[in-house]
Amino acid sequence: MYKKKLYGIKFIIPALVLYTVLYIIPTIAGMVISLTDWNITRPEIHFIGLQNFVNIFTSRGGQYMASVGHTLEFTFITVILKTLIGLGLALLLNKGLKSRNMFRTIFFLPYALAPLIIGISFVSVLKPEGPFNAILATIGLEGLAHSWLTESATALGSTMAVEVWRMAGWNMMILLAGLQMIPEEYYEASAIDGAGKWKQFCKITLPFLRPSLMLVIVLNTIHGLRVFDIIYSLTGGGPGGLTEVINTLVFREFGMGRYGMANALNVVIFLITVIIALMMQRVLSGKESNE
Amino acid sequence: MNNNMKKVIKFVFIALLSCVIIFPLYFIIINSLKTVEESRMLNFSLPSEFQWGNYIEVIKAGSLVRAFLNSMLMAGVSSIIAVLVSSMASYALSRRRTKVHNMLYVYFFLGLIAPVNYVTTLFTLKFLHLQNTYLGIILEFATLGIPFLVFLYYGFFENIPKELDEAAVIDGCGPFQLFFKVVFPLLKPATITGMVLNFLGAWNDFVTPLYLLSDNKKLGMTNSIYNFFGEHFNDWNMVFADIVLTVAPIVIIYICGQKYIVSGTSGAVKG
Amino acid sequence: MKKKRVLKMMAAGLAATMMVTSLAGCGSAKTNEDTAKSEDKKGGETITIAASTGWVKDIDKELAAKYEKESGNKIEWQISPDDQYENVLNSKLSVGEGADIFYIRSGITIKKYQPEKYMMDLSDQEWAGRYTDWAKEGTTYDGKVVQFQTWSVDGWGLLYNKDIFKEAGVTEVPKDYAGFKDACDKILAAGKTPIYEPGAAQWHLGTWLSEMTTQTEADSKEFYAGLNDNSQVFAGQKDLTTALDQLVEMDKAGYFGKDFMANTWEDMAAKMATGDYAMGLVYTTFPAEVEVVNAELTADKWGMFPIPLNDNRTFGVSAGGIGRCVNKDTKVETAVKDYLDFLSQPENLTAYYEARLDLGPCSFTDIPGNVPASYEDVMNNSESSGLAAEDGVIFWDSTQVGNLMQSVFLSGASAEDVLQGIDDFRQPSLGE
Repeated sequence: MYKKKLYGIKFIIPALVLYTVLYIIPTIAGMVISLTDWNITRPEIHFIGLQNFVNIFTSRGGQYMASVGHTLEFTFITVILKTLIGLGLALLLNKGLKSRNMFRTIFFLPYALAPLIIGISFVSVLKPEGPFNAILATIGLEGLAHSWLTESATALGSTMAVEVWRMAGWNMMILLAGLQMIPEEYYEASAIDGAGKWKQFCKITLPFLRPSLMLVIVLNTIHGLRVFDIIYSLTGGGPGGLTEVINTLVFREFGMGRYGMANALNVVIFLITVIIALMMQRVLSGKESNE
Repeated sequence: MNNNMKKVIKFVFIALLSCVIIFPLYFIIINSLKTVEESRMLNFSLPSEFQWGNYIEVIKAGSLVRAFLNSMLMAGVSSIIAVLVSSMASYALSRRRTKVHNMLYVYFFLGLIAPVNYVTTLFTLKFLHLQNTYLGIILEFATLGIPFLVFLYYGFFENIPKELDEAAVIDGCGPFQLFFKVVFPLLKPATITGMVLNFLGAWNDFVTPLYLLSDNKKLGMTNSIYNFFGEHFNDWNMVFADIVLTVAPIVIIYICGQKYIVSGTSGAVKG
Repeated sequence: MKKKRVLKMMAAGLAATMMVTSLAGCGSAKTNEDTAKSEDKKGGETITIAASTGWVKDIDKELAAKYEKESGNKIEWQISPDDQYENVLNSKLSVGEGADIFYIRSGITIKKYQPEKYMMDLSDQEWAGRYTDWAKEGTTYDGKVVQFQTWSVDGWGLLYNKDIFKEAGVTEVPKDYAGFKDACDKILAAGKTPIYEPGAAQWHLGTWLSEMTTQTEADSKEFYAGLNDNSQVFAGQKDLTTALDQLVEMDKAGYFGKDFMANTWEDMAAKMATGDYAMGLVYTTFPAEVEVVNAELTADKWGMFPIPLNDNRTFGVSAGGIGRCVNKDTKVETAVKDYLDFLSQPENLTAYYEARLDLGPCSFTDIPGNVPASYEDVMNNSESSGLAAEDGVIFWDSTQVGNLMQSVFLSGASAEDVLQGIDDFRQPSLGE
C-alpha cells in the first residue's frame, strides 16, 4: 500500500501528458490519415480504407517496394558493422591505455554532429576530386578511387559507410558501459584457472555483455529502418533511386502533398520496425527467459 | 617489456583508427580558414594565409549570435524539462511494476519507434496556441527525448536500493521530498547523460523547427547553417566555418559531460 | 553538500520554467499589442512572408527594410531551405498556418495549391494593369490574377562558348541532332569537354526533358491539355524516347566528360568560366553569373540555341518564374496590398532588377528589366517557343524526372521506363 502513495501517479503524469499530447496523439492522427486519400491539391478528403497500402505493394512500377528493399539492406548491413566495430572499439578502450578517455571522446564525436552537417561535409569529402580519393592516391590505391556517391556500385554502400562512421562510437559507448559492469574478479579467477584471452572473451565477456549487445542491436535496427537525415543530405535518395529508402520516399510524397500515402508509408515502417524488434527480442533474449 | 611492446602497438593501432574520424574533421576546420578559391580545391593543404575573418563574416551574415542564443534556450530548457519529467516517470514505473505500470513502460518505449508526424504535431500545437512560440518547440523537443530517457533511467533505478526509500520514509520524508532530496542526486550519471543526449538531439534537429517555428528569427544554429548553405553553396570556406561554429558548443558540452556518459548509460544496458 | 546541489538543480529548473513562461508571456503580450495598435492607426502590422532560400536575395531584404521604414509595418521572413520549402508550405497551409504572402512558381503550379481556397484575387490591384502579357498570363488562374510577380520569362537553352566553337572549327550553330553530334565530336577532338552537365542535380537532368516536351506540344497542340485532364500519358511518346536515347548516346560518346553524375549545379558557373567546357544547359541570364567568376568571359562571348535533340527547334520558356500569392485568410490584407503596391513602384522595380542580374525582362511594362543577348540569340535560333513542361504540365516534377533519368545512365533503364515512371508518379495526384 505504501508503494501506491510513495510512487504515485503524480510522478508519471507530467511525462505522460506531454508524451501523449505532443507525440502519441499526432502519431495516431497520422495513422488515421493513412486511411484517407488526403491530398493537399484537392479540397475533399475521403476515407479509402486500406487502398494506400494496397497501392504500396502493387503499383508504381515497384518503386515503393524497391525503397523497402533498400531500407532493409541498409539496416541489415549497418547493424552488423556498427555493432562489430563498436564492440571492437569498446574492447580496445575498456582498460589499459592511459589515453583511453581521449580516444573515447574522438570516436564518440561524430555522434554529436548533426547528420545534416555530416552529410554536407561528406558530399565534398567523397567527390571524385575530393580528399578521400586523394588519400587513396597517396597510399598507392588510386585504382580504388570512385565517384562514391554517384556510381551505381558504390552509392548505397557509401551512405552505409558514412552512417557507420557516425554511429560506431555510440555503439562503443553503450558497450563500454556494459563492459564496466563485469566484475574484475571473474577475469582474475579464470586467469588463475589458466583460461586464455579468447576463452575469457567467450565465457565471461560475451555472456555478461549480452544485455548491452541486445540493446545496441535493437536500437541500431530501429535507427536503420528509420534512416532519413544522412541519406537525404548525402544523396537525396538518388542517383536514379539507388539509395531511396522508405523515409526519403515519405519525404517526396509529403512534398507532393499526398498526405494519405505519405502516412501509409510511415505506418509501414512502423509495423516493420515493431515486428523486427519483437522478433529480435524473442531471438536474442530467448535463452534468458527460459532460465 | 613484451607487455610494453603490446601497449605501444595497441596505441598506434588505435591512433591510426582514430584518423578515420579526425581526417574529415581536420578537413572541415582547415578549409574553414581558407579563401574561397583555395577552399574550392577541397584538399588537405594548409591555407596560404589563415583567414580568421571568415568566422566574423559568417557570424554577421548568418546572424549567428541570435541563432546561438535561440539554440541554447531551446536545447537547454527542453533538456531540463525532459530529464525532470522522465526521471520522475521512470522512478514510479520502475518501483511499482504492476501490470499497468509495465504497460505504460511499453507505451513510452513505443516512442522510440513511432513515426513523428509534423503536420499533425503542428496542428496539435496550433490547437494549444503554441505554434511558432519558444514554449511550443521546447515542449516538443522535451517530448521527443522522453522515450529514450525513460528507458535510460528505468534500468538505472535498479542500482538504487529500495531500502534507501524505506529509510527515508521512516525519517519522515514525503514522496516528492524523497525523490528530489534522496533519489535524484544519486541519478547524476544518468541525468547528465540524458541532458547531454537530449541537448545534442535538440541542437542538431533541423526538421522540427522548420515546421513548428515560422519566424526565421527564432531558428537555431543548425537551421541557420542549412539556410546559409542554400545561399552560399559555393563558398565552402564559409560553409565550413559555419559548421565549426555550430558544432563547437555541442562538442564542449559533450566533453564536459563525457566522464559521466559511460556510467550513465549503464542503466540502459541492465536489460 | 548534496542537498545544496539538489536545491541548485531544482532552482535552475524553476528558473528555466519561469524563463519559458515569461518568454511565452512576452510573445502573447506583444501580439496583443500589435492587434491593439492596428486598430488605432495604419502601420504597426506584421506581414509574414514565406519563401524558399534561393528566391529571396539581399535586395528583397533591403526593399523590405525600406518599406518597414516608410510604412511602420513589419516584415517577418519565413525562409526555408529550397528542398524543404514545398513540404513546409504544404503543411502550414493545410493546418491554416500559412504566411500572409507565400512564394510559388507561376504557371500551372498555381493550380496545385488550391487557388480557390488559399489565394486572394488580386485582379483589382493597380499594378495588375501594368503587367506584361506573359506575366499576366503566368499569374492568372481562372480569369483572376492571383500572384504578384517580379521575375522574368526565361527558358533553358544550350549556351555555347563562341571561341571554343571557332577553335574547334564549328562554324554553324547546330540545327539538328546530326549537326550537334558533329559539333561535339569536333570539340572533343580539340581537347575540350563539349558539355558541362550537373548530373548530381536531378532537377537539371529533368530540365532537358521539360524543354523537350515543348516540341511535342508544338507539334500536337493538345498534348499538355491532355496531360492535365488525364486523358493523355507520357508513355509511348516517340519524340521523347528518341531525345532520351540520344542523350544516353551523348554520354556514351563522352560528350559530358568523366563522372558527369558527380558534377554539381553549384559548380556550374565556375566550371563554365574555366573555358574547359564548350556548352551547358542554362537560362539566358547565365553569362552574367559566369562573368562574376571570370571577368574576361563577357556576355558577348556566348551564344545560345535550343536543345537540338530529336532535331528540335522550339525553345521552352517559363510562365514568368516565381510569384507571390496573398493568403486568402490573411488578417493584414491592407498592409499586404500596401506592400505589394510599394514593390511595384517603378523606382523600386528598377532597384530590384538592377540587383537581380540573374533575371531577364521585367514583369511590368514600366521598365525593361534586363534583356540578355543570349535571350535574343536563342529566340533567333528557334523556330518557335512555348511553355516548358515545368510550367505547362501539372504535377510535373523535374527532380523526380531527373531521378528517373539518372537510372537510365546508371543502371540501364530504358527511355520508355522514364516516361512510364513519370506517368506513375503523376497518376496518384491526378486521381482516378
